Amino acid sequence: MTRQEEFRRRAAAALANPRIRDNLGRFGIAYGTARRNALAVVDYEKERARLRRMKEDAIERLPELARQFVEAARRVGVIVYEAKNAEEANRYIGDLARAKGVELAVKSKSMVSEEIGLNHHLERLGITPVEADLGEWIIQQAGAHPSHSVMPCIHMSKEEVAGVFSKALGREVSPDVSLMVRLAREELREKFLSAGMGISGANIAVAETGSVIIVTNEGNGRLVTSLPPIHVALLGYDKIVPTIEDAAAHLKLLAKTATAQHLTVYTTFITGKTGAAAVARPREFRGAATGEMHIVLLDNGRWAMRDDAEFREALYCVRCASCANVCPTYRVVGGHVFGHIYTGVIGAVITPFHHGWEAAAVPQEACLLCRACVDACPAEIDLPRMIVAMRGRIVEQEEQQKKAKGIRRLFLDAILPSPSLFHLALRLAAVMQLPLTRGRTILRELPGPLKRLTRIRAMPAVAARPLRSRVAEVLPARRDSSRSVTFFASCLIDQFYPEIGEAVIKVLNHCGVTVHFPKAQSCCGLPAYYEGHKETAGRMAKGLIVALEPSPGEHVVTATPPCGITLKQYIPKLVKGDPRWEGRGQALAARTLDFSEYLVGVLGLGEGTFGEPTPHKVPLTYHDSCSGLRGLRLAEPQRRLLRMLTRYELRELDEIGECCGFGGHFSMDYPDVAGEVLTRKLAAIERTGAQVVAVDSPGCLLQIRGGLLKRHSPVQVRHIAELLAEALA
Amino acid sequence: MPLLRHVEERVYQTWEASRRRQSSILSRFVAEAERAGGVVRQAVDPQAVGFSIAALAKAQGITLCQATDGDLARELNLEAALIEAGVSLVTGPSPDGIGHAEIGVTRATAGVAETGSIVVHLDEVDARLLTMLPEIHVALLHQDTVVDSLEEGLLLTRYLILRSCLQGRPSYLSWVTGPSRTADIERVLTIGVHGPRQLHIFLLPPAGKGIGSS
Repeated sequence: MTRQEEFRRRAAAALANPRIRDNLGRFGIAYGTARRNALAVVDYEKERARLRRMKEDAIERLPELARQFVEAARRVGVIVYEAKNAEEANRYIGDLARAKGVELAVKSKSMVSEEIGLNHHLERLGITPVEADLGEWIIQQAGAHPSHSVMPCIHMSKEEVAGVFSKALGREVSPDVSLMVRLAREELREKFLSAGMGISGANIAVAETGSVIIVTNEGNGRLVTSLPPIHVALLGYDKIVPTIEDAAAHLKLLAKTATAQHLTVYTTFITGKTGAAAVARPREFRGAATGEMHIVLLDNGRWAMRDDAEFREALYCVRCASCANVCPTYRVVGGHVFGHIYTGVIGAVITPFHHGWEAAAVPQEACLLCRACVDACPAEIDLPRMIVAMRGRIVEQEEQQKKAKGIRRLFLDAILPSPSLFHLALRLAAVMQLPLTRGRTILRELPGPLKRLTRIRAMPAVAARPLRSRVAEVLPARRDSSRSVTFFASCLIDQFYPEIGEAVIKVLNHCGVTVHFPKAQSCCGLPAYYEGHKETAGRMAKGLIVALEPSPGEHVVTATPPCGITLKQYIPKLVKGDPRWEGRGQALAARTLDFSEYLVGVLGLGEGTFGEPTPHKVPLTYHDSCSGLRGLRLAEPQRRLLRMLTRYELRELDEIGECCGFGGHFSMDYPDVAGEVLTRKLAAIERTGAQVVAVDSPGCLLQIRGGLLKRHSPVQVRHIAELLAEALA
Repeated sequence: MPLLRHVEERVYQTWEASRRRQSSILSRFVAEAERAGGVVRQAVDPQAVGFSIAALAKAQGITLCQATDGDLARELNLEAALIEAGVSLVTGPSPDGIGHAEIGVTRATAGVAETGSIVVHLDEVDARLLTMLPEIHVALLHQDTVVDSLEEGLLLTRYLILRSCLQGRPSYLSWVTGPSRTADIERVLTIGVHGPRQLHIFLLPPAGKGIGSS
């Protein structure tokens, strides 16, 4: 089974349970508002830059800080064990528990213990581990895995939880949340008092003092580390920071981003073992009554991550789970699909280092590359960049293992990079579709293996005549002007939506700009790049540089933001280090502007009006493309242009910046997941009452228009260029 | 120990600066601590605090109250007040073992206005458990030990821990911000999971001794 097929299988199982997306969908909305309120009291950008700097420095100095931490901890009597991998950590803790006669171990929340499978190991030794965090306890009783790193059982309803309680306590428990919380308090209080060992994780470790800092809301962390005579803190090297004061950057943002609190209820600084409660111990217990503390410092791939320039920044993670909370596909499939042991986007990225590439290959498929997580991350971690890097390595491995699938590889590595083959294939498709389209431009249902493409949305037909056959190489301005641009059309506009291209040209010509359309242009290589076919993407980058370089336009203008990102950001990266191409790549990037950005930024449009005054304005909403909003950082130019249109009244969506679910290949490969994301988007559009949806990207147009057509909605979807051109008519 | 002296000097400067803005820091502290679910009361006369605690116990049908030490109980006139209310008092470790008291009365070392937190630095495990096991935690905080920002609070925390650590002494310090809570089941906020369901903070008059002085 290919990883795509396996992901489809797992996603289908999650989609069959509407509870997951109902809970996560509701949570996502509530989280967004609560988080914004919590962050309103700080300068978020300044604070996250501070956290980023602090973590960068700490990881850079890690060898020195780790030594300092170990020495400081030993000074206060802690026994420190440095474990290379899961097996060593498990063995140490298990052997310790056995040597001390521990029968029962209580645990506060520790994702690292999930990482190494500690509970399983202890159980095999006959030691009973009991999770004390309420969510973790429920998950443990249910025999499941956490689906979220902060809220482990977010995917369960209170009725399901009541079922777990009834089974665990051996009596009927009604689904009353406060009752269940009280029962858990009573049940677990007993465990705290009789456990021989307490096992905790750590959110932060302090090199200067050997302290571990634990943040919890329930208070289980303090009981686990105070009541039992033996405390084992299990943590990764990545948690170490220089001093307690450096924790400020971390603590300032962690609770605000994780649970929308200013600070968690308990922030506990533990520096050595300060005694143990005088309670009766099990007969077999041989631990010291005064208590002892052990720290297990775990590598398990962390040092390798540090040495890997592409993945080092994953170590800056503070485990707030924001990347999951804002992720459109996590909200649909949950952490059991989007994640291995660690969940969400960061989970997918660190999995190869902790659990191997095999385990990592499938969960990362869930990423749409919408970049919502980049803005949400308090440590400014560029997760989508790492997802693309992962895909590159997965593709390489599949090549080596001959697991790469024929048609996909053929398309990405042979057809797409060859302008003649690619355009020939599209012309063939234009002819072959005729019995289906019967002259129409929309395909509501595709047959056979292509059926998947139209499951959630209607598809546009391939244009009978692509833009390149409809327009000349030079399209002069309507009035004399020295301004000229080179139009990079993108495959979607050229081959599917030539009318958008014509609108772009019409508007530019009207504004006194001569448009050059070099016919040598072809695909920018983005599909290959996003799917990890880096070598192909590199070849295509060079092809595009050659195609656009001689064209005389002052700027290269695109009306397709994802391709704009390729030209401005990916191409320079792909040719970096190659002396013959590096400068040329940078020159192309510097020359490229998005259509709206060009009109507003260069031509100075944005004031005044476009079109005749009308008494009745049509309600219109604007959907930001992920690439435009977060990739190119463009939100204002599009809105300024739309406000100029006399015919329309702009009404904002209530969830600005949410992805529509297109995601290029994603919606082709995983229509059911993309369809759920689209459903949310269409509901948001409906709430505005808009009759027209304006977009800046033909990909979003394909997805949203296709979804509306499938639902027989009268709402129109138009590219900004089309609306402007229409106003000129 | 030049490092410790340097940190200590910065703590002292913070305390001096905080004292000059004490009323605004205090009102910020009260607002934030209450937002986190704590109950904050100004106590002009420490001897009256015992009666407030007794009233609290009586209203909730509580029969056993435990304070960390006799000095604290005397400072608050706790014993007399509780006798009047028919509530038993234990000071120091209980001969009956832990976990029986329904109210735990402890001192707080400092407060942090930005987050509404109290800094509880109790290395003695029995004393510390009084902030964890009872249903109600009552904390006594001197007004002039409240600092303004998270950063200042962490500076103080660094000082307190470093002081022990450099002498090879373990320590245990918590910032407590409101009562224990969870939202693990269907995100329904529920107060009082493993820790206290109620947190009462009494603000005592300035002690004038600086922060973290032992």
